Amino acid sequence: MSAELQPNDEQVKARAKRLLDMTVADLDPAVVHRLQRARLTALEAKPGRQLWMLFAGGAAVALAVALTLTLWTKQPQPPSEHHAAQVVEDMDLVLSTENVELADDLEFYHWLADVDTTG
Amino acid sequence: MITLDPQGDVEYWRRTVTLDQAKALDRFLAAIERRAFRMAHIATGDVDDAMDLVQDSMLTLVKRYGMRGESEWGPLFHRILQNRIRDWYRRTKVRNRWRQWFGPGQEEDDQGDPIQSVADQTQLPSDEQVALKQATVALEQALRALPLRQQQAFLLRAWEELDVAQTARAMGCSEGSVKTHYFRAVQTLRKVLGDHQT
Repeated sequence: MSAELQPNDEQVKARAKRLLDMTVADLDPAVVHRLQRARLTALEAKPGRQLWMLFAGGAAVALAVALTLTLWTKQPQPPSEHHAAQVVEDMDLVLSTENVELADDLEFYHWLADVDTTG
Repeated sequence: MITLDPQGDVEYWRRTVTLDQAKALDRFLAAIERRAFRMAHIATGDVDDAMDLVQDSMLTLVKRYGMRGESEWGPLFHRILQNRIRDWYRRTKVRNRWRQWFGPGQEEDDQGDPIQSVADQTQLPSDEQVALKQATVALEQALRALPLRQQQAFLLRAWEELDVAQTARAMGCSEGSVKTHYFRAVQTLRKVLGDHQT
């Protein structure tokens, strides 16, 4: 094969896409049927976090609150306005919506971490 | 944002999730399931394993992220599927290593036939159809021969048309890694596709 007949990057991409699309269009009907069944099974599944995840998320938030309060009460100086503002800021960070949403994702990240370490 | 019942019971799900949302999930999965299967099949070389990976990914998406916005489903599904494929790959590698140590391997028997999934278009294929089929088989063999990360990067970039950032998120790696894997994959596939002009 001469070098000038080699396709460029976009041609490689386009040809591969065309061929791969063809294999999808020509999928074995038995496979297509199994995929449809798999989809229906998935759609019938009950969504939601498992109970332990709710517990873990709640425990993480509670621990963070307890840690913040502990550090605050152990301050050697009397709490100034600045310290109070810091605590408010810390509490805000701990209890913010973003963090609650982060707790929602805990299971996903836990799973990802598990995948990374079990390899 | 919809709050979940801690028990996650079916009745609650049925009451909370609208029919539109269920239909949207169905449409999303229907649109992506065949390509997802082909990706998993190319990675595993086995119809049943590929089916398991896709079904598991669908279940995970619906159960954990079904109530997320529709625009999030694509990136989440790709990430779940690619992680499942990577996990499968690692487990298979370990299993094959044990087989090599303790007995004759059965990998040859376990491999699915790549041609099986490509059905005949007509009873008497034209020259062009024969050439297309040959090119398809050659491409599939070349894709399977690629290191998994190159294979994933190429399929997500070239086939799913994800951009570099989306591909990086789906693969759980840096954008630089995606560029490297994709570049190397293209270099390898260029020769194969050049030899099979279609």
